Amino acid sequence: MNDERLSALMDDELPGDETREAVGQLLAEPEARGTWARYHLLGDALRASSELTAAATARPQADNIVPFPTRIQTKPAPARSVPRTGLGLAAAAALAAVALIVASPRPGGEAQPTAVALGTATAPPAGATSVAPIAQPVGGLAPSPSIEPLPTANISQTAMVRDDEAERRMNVYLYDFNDKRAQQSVPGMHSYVHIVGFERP
Amino acid sequence: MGDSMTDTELVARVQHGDKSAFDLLVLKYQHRIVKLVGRYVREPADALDVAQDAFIKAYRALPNFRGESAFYTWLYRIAINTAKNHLVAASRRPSDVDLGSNEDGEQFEIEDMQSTLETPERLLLTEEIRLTVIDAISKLPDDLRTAIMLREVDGLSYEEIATVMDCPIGTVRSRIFRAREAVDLRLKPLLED
Repeated sequence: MNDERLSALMDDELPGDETREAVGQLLAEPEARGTWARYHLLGDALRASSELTAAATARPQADNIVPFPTRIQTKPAPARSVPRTGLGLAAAAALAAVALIVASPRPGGEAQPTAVALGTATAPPAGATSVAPIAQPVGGLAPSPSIEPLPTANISQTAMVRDDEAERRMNVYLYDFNDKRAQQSVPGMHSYVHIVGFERP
Repeated sequence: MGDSMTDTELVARVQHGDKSAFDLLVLKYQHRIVKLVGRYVREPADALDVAQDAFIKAYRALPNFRGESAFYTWLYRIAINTAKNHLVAASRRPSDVDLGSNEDGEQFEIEDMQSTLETPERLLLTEEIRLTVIDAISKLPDDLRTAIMLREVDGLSYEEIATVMDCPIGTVRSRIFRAREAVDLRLKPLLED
């Protein structure tokens, strides 16, 4: 069975008549069943990481997260009748920054929190120093004046670092974004920003 | 979660006697059901037992499932009721009582299902699997990573993703598949004995 077809089948994105045929093929091919199981496992793992992120940002702990400094007052958003506007905001948020802080186990040692800065929507020019993306509030929200830009000169795109300031800034960003998201019924940015180096809830 | 045509087709096949179709439903939903049960039953081993019990109950009740709700909604209800019953029973009995008093006729099917469900040993792999998946995702090109995250984490349809990413639906389908394929290259060796 064509794996792209299987991928679409598990997303329920095949036309009805094709679904029946594809399920028949899936049941007949042991290898396709293995792929089915692994593709679902992949999704479960992604969602589990996303939930860890949400839990970490929802339950600030003194050791990990600096308490949110200043709530930024925003006007209530007007009711939206066109959902595509919300999707556009989600896209902007998705492409603004993706950051990962992964607890990477070291051989023979405890897991060490590390940060992996992922790509940004705009690639840096060749030869330029890569920098960690800095999430900017979306939809007119401004960062707290006390928040200075993160020094990024020494952070490469794949640098493995733990930067408390970066975590603090990301948390502030997430709080702001989630406020805005709640007003506009937009999918959350935190889905794209993985901060999973914190302790399990 | 909306009504799934794939689930409907799999359920229909189970109702016509194809047990292997139920295996695919178990593979699809086992983690979600274990997680759901885990909200009620804190002990991981008990949560696995309860989840397994829920799947067994669902399998037995499937001939009577009429599709008035989505399969997952129906399975969800069974899992929650099973977890609640477990809590009630646990409060009444001393610990370490074997719950596996099944009717004779069902024994074979139950053993079959136990081989499909997660075991504690398999669950130990979860953290390694999760980190492997996250690492593989982090190395994907932006367009593939965004597509797979919008699909798996945010649950957007291909049409919605096409709108978000400003590309044709066929491109979305291809990007999601290529993302899965790339992650699977890392995942498959991990799961092989």
